[in-house]
Amino acid sequence: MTISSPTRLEALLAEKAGRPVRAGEVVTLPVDVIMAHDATLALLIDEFTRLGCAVRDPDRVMVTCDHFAPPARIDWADLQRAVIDFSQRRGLDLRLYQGICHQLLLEDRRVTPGTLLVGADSHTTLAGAVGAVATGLGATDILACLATGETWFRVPESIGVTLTGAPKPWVMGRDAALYLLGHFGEAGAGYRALELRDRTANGLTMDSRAAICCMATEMGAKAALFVPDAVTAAFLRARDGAPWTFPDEDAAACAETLTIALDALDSLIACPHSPANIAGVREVEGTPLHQVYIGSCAGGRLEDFAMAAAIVAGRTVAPGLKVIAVPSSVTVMREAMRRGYIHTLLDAGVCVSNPSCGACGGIDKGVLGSGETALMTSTRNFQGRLGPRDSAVYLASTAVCAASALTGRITHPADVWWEEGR
Amino acid sequence: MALRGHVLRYGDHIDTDVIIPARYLNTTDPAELAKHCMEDAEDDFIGRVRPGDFIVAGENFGCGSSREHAPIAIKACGVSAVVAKSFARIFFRNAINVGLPILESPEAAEAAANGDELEIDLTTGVIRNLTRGASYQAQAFPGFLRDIIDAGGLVPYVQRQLAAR
Repeated sequence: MTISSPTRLEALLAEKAGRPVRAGEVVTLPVDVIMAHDATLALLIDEFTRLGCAVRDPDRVMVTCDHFAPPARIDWADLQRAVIDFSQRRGLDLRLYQGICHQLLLEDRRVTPGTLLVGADSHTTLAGAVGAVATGLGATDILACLATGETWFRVPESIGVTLTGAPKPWVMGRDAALYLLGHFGEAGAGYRALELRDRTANGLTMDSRAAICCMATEMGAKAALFVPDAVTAAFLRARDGAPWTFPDEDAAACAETLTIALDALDSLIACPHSPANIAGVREVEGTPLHQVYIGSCAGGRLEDFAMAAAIVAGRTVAPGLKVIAVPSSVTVMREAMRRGYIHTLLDAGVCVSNPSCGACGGIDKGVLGSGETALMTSTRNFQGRLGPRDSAVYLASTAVCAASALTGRITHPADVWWEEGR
Repeated sequence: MALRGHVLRYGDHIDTDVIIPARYLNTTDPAELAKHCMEDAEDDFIGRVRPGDFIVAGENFGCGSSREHAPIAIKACGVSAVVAKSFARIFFRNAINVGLPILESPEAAEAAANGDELEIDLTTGVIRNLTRGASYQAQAFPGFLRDIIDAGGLVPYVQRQLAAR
């Protein structure tokens, strides 16, 4: 019997464990970064206090207030007060209304290739964009991590995903994520991890990588990480120059592999009520909309604002259509303002809200009314997530959302932008 | 310990948003959460569920948000265990951590219909469908998870660990 070489995930986790590990094994590992936010941390504060626990290493923790940002209801304000007080008392890194937890982690010096990151939120997988091993846990697991500094993992099998080709100008990372969702369905990557390699002509941006890793959780994946490359190195150099290493690339033995040819990919869309209910935009074009939403950890980054601004520039959104754009962080918003994107969106009639999770979770501003249909860049379209059970949500890239904002109907981006040869 | 109750049957990919919608994440009180359990999955779950009942579902039960409110709500409304073909990974951990018994058995889940009477032995993982006269063996938990379950959840388990340091 030959012993195959370890996957990147196995190699990374072996480094943490200080011994070889293989998929299927359960290992207890110290975690590098722990994240919790206002909606989930609230659940563990009383228990943590009752048990008399101490935070083992406050320097490894980030707490965000992004779900109730700022609170629109008294009960949410009460929950958030407890989160703010807890964080301040224990000397934790509190990010109050600075943006969505996952975007803030992507922007954080502590998160580099190989970082073992756990967060009390399912979309924690996003940090895999920089090569971190990042996964979501529930509140009690996070409580245990805060107290002990470690947690258990079942080492996942890896699925190797290679991206090739040069995408059409309106095809974004989100479309690759939608393609993967169509391929795997809601559970097809369950308990496994995606190891992504970027072999595209020009390299995907970090923003597109983030969109893909974020949505991996909707396929059931435990983690999704881009093998660090020149794009990663440039991103980290520009971010803060934080030092990093990564196990050398070798023949990683993924049990299953998949290649996405981006040049053959066109805009995709997830139809109600599942993020994996995938269709081509052409198949559902013309569907009337009540709301368009650009934001969330799956689509509120600078690249999204650049795309939205390019499409709506000099035009106005459809009459009566609610169009909302929410930057994923203050850093994104500041840069989008500096480059004029926010100005362009405001001129077109878009409502630009403060950096936060916004309507994505059905909590903050932008929820739906009875019988309403929305097109969003957000993460999920489960029945009832954004509003009553008879509301409906389609999910697509910012290019599709911005194009549809102009017409009030699901619209292919090529029809409103590229027809003018821009 | 043998549990006995009736089946409340659901399909694949029951997500945590329908188990407990985000609009109710305004409380951490199990009794309050229980009032809205499965509210977006069906019209009258709370009227239908009886203490001791089992939720039986298809693939990927508990997918979506990491909210631990979901297993807490299920447990607090009297459901004594969830049987599914498979569980989403965060829900799987959360259920064990909060002490909601879960059993993975594609065969038992496939065969069960609404209203069937089940008897479940949590120690052995044997699921008996009394209505259909069939018996199934659920997937065994790794020993390590057994320890968390036996301790009564992750909090007492961690307390013990910290005390031993």
